[in-house]
Amino acid sequence: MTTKYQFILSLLSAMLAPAWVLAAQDIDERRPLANDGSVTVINVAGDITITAWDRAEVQLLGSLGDESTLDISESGQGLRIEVKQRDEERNNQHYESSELQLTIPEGATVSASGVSSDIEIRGLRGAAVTAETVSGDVEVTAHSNHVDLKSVSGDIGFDGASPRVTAESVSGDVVLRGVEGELNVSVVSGDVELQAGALDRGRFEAVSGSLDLVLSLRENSSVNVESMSGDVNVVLPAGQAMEIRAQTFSGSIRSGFGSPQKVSHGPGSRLDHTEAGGGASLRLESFSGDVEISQQ
Amino acid sequence: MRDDRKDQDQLLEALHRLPRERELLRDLWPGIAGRLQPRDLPQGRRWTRPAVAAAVLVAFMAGVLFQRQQLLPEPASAEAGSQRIPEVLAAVQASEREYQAAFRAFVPVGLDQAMLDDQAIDDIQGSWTQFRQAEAALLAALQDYPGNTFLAERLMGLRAQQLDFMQKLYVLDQNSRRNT
Amino acid sequence: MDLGPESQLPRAGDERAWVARAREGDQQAFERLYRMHSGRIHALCWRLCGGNAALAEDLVQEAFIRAWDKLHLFEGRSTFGTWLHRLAANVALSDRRIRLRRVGNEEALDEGVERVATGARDVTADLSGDLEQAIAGLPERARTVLILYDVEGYAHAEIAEMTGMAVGSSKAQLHRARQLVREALDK
Repeated sequence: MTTKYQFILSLLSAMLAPAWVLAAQDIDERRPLANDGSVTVINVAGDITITAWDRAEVQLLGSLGDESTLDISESGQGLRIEVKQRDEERNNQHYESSELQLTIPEGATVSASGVSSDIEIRGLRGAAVTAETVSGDVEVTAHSNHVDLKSVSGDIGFDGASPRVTAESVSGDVVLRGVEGELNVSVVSGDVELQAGALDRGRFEAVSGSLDLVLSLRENSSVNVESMSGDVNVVLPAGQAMEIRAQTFSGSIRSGFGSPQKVSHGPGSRLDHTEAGGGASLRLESFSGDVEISQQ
Repeated sequence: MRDDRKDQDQLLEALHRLPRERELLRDLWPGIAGRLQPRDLPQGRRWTRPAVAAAVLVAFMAGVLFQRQQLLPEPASAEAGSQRIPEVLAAVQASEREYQAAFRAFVPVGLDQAMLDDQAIDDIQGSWTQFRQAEAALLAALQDYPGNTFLAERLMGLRAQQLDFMQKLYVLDQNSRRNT
Repeated sequence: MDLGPESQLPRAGDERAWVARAREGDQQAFERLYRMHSGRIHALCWRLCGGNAALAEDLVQEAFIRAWDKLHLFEGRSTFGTWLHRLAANVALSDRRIRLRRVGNEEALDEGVERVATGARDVTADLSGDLEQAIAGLPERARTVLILYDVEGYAHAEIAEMTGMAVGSSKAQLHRARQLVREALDK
């Protein structure tokens, strides 16, 4: 009798269990992949986490939303993993969230994209890392040749060594460390914080966000910084050989290199200065934000 | 997409490695020397800066108007109540009208808002507000300083950022259509 | 003939002194500046005019003559090389604009007409199918932006100022140029 009641109770428990316990499907997949292969991951809703290992294999773990299917396809050197929604189930409901955790060869090239997705990528050393999301954060630690990070409303963080980095966010903040070579950063209302190595080329754009840049410039390098209302703060090594051109419309300029002058047409200031014989080019322009250039 | 990016990277790498110098097949100096005018005493510098600024302003005007040969700025169509609008401001306003028309065409139709959470939608709208505020501030400044080429350059730069933003929304819309 | 110490040129590398001497009318000093920078200026002009060797030489000459005339405007805020490079780019761009105006509205040109309008080219099929050829084969504005941005490192705002196009157009032309070059290299 006890056994019978236990059976009924367990059956009732199962019937009354929260829907989410029944909805998610576990993911456990493995596919071979060359160390320099490529992985493309697409997940509209839900986080994507990618880490590296030294095996010629991709391991995919996670959980799939009840209204979702997992599509894994192989072509050439690459693997494509996509979470798809069942069309017939969508009646203006929010997407079911699916979570993906991948471990991939450390030399692989990876492209990860989502919409309502945080993306975290760590440990890669391959040719390229690309991560794009809309309302989610992007956090990457890599030593790849080319890193391209985009978010609309999320923050972007990068730490590593890469000769070419592009980071774009609309309202999120961008924090970058360890970039050398070429760097392109664009934000609208987010702030930019940079701790960089020597740059060959740099472009920084912000509308209302502030730009705090600690960097050095290689000979004949060119760095352009443009801000509308955000403040610009640049810290350079003492004795950096460069030509500085800075101008504001209504913001102030303070500089440890050269002497800013008032402009004749407008309330702002201007600075034209050659330091240590010149060589690199640093151009700073702001509409109403203040500009400060200082030495380390 | 990955192959495109890889190709792009390789192309940029190759472009950056192109030689910055190219040897001349013949010595041009004799031809140059024969045309050098004896040096006049250095001109006063005070007048040259406005001249340079004017040249840049002309280039800007040419750039703005050249691309709108059918849409030359018309002071009569400017903001009601304004009296005499400098030519630069009129040209900038003409650019703004064209830009806003482009924006209306870019506004995603059927963007699947189920894909975006409320925060993302707020952020997108908030960022667009930032752009419009920046644009308004620049236009107001241009009205006070109509000959200021720095302001004109800032406005052109801002519009380029706005176009990039609209393109992001367009891609978002296209991706949402692909996913439906 | 006693040249005297005051007629001796500064040591190699002391460009500022050469510039100062040239500003005072010293053509020997200006020749030194020509020797130092002609290779760089030639590369710029040659690419901007699409690989036309004769035209490139004309542009180099014109650039240095213009630099001599305008040297009093060089105020030392940049290096002489940077100033000269910008001046040479403007010389090259002005020359093409003049040529294009003869054909009519720049916007109305299709790619084929645009190429012809810049004058006869020496870029023949004998050139190796490499990157330089692909660049030389680009439409005029696309080539200009690609060279100034990707090769020479100018910003879009600078390119817009130099060419008279909007910053947005410069970005669009760059995108187009890169795409066309890739297509050309893939053939």
